[in-house]
Amino acid sequence: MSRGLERQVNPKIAALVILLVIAAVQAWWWRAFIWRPKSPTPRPKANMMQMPPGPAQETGRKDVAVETIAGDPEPGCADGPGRDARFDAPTGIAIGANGVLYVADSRNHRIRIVRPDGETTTLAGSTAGYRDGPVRTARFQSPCGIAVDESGRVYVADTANHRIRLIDNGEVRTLAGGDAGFASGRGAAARFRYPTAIVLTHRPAKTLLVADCGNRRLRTVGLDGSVQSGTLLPSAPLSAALGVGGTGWESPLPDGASIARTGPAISGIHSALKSLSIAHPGVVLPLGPETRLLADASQGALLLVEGTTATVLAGGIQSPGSMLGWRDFSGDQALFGRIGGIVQDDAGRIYVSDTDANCIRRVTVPGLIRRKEAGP
Amino acid sequence: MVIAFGTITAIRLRSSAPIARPLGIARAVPQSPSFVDGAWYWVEQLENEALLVRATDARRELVRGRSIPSYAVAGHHLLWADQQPDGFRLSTATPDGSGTRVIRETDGRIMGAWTDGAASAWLEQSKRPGSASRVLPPLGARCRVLLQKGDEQSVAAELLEEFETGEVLGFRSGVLYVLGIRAEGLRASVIYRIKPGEPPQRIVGETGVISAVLDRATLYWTAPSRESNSTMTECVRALATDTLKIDTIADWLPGGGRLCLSGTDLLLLSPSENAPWLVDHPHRLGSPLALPPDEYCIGAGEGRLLTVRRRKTPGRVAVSEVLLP
Repeated sequence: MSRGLERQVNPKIAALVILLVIAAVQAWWWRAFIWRPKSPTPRPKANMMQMPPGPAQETGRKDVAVETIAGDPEPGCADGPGRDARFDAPTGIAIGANGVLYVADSRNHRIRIVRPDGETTTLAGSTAGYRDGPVRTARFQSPCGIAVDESGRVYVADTANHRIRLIDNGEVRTLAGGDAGFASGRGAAARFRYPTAIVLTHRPAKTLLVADCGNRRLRTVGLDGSVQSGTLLPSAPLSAALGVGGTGWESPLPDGASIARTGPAISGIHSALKSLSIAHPGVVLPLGPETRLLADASQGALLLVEGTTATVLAGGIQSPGSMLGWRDFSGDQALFGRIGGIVQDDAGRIYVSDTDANCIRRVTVPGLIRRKEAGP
Repeated sequence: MVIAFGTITAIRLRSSAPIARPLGIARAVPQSPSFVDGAWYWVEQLENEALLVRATDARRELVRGRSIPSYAVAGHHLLWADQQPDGFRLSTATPDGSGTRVIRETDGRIMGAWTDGAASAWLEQSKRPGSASRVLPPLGARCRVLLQKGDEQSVAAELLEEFETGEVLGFRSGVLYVLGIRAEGLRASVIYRIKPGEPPQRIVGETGVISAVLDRATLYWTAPSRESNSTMTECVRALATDTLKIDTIADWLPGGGRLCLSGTDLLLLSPSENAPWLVDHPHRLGSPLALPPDEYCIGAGEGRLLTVRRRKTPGRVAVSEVLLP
């Protein structure tokens, strides 16, 4: 019987069957004990503080230093030293006497003060709303713009209240504006719609220049509260900055790589910005007739534009994509969120309010020219 | 070779993986699953429609709509929001889907529906009047938190925010807890404490997208790791709702996770892991639970896990339930 069986079984087939059985056992063992399936439902990563994939098209300069002097990416509201302080969407920033910074802390509905050593305090504001009076009980609603004069009076573009507010001697009062609308006039008779930025000019007289975002206008406001209809722009101005000597204004426009300004157009600015794929210039700070600092609104980069040449000072530009993030280091390694405001101190150092990263950052650029004073 | 085989087999067998009990075949991977009063609920988002499904021993479709961004079940109430051509609609029914009644229609966006049977709450994101800006926070953003007790609806708070997604986490001692994920820029997550009639209080702010759950007296949420520099790890923080004291209770957990409460257990479901992690307070590192091979955990509740097994047939997802030991 067994001899008959031996004769009937082909040894090659038997070997093949044995190999197949071994392979099947191995496959079962692998699947049961080793293999780990991939998740069927990938979810977004939790932390946005990371470099996006792909190489940067252009990054900042290695000799530029970026440091956070106040705040932390974690949104919050707290006074205190340096990184212990908390902001929530700081936007407008102005510099006063002795290098003290004034910040419109937009989502906290407060005006904050940051000393050069990073100590942060609250100047005015409490919960969201509208109320004049003592600084501690006064209320703002999403203030975005801020300016300060030489005697310490602070002017605020109180954006969601559609008003221009003044902080002086511990009191907050309304300089101009009422409900949302468009009207020239004095004090409460004037109307704004989401004023986003404000700067102080001294020529021909001491007046305020306001970016009236919802009305697509650059408006002038006298210190007595009289408001002019201003200049109509092709699109909504996001920020306002004074030109050299305080004689004219510049404002990036959000719908193209362009900067509106008084006087003749800036020659070559369009091609300079296009060469770096800057589609959304956000904030501008003129330093000289042909020199200006510019923050890109979607890429988190600080640029120096000299004539027709634009270079990245700090942060990075990537096309397509974005380099948004938060990291202090040299200009080529640093990351920024969207920058809401830029100022320069007497020593030539740059301070930016990093709206996304909820902090105030200092950028030191060797050899950078100092902005000419806009005083009388 | 034999020793290696034997060692690996022994280690895996010692983990005593539990057995999965089939619940049915879903038409898409279940989203937002929850286990309430002996039944699983989830949403299946298909190409052109969404299904709200209930499963006990078998899967049953309760509601169909274009999109069902949120739902909640408690007691004898099923509450869900569904998208309409010109806005959103909030409806209620019994948990088996009968007795449907529309309780709210709006041109805003309804998010984060919540109910405990006696009260219901949700978020309504208004259309923004202000112009779009890439620099500034959204101008004129408004998100209303609505609370319904009985048939009476009221606005508990109006947040000056624009959320990509939002969630009502719960209502404890007359206080609502609301999570919102901001869309713009680097994104950030905030949790508000809302006592109707008083200004809302932001009690948590974190960078990135977080997940949060509310226990009886403790709020838990995921956050970027406090101890590691890696963006792939995260921690779990806790806030006592009476003292508002914040503590980091676990760290070095896999990133991108979603928190779930299962009885008194706090579980973290991570997209990079098929098994959930048990966040065990005295042990700050957490530990993964055992699952049957091939099963991915997508939900948890009351001592059981909801798992899926990928099949090659498109539109057919095997859904199972695993009882925790």
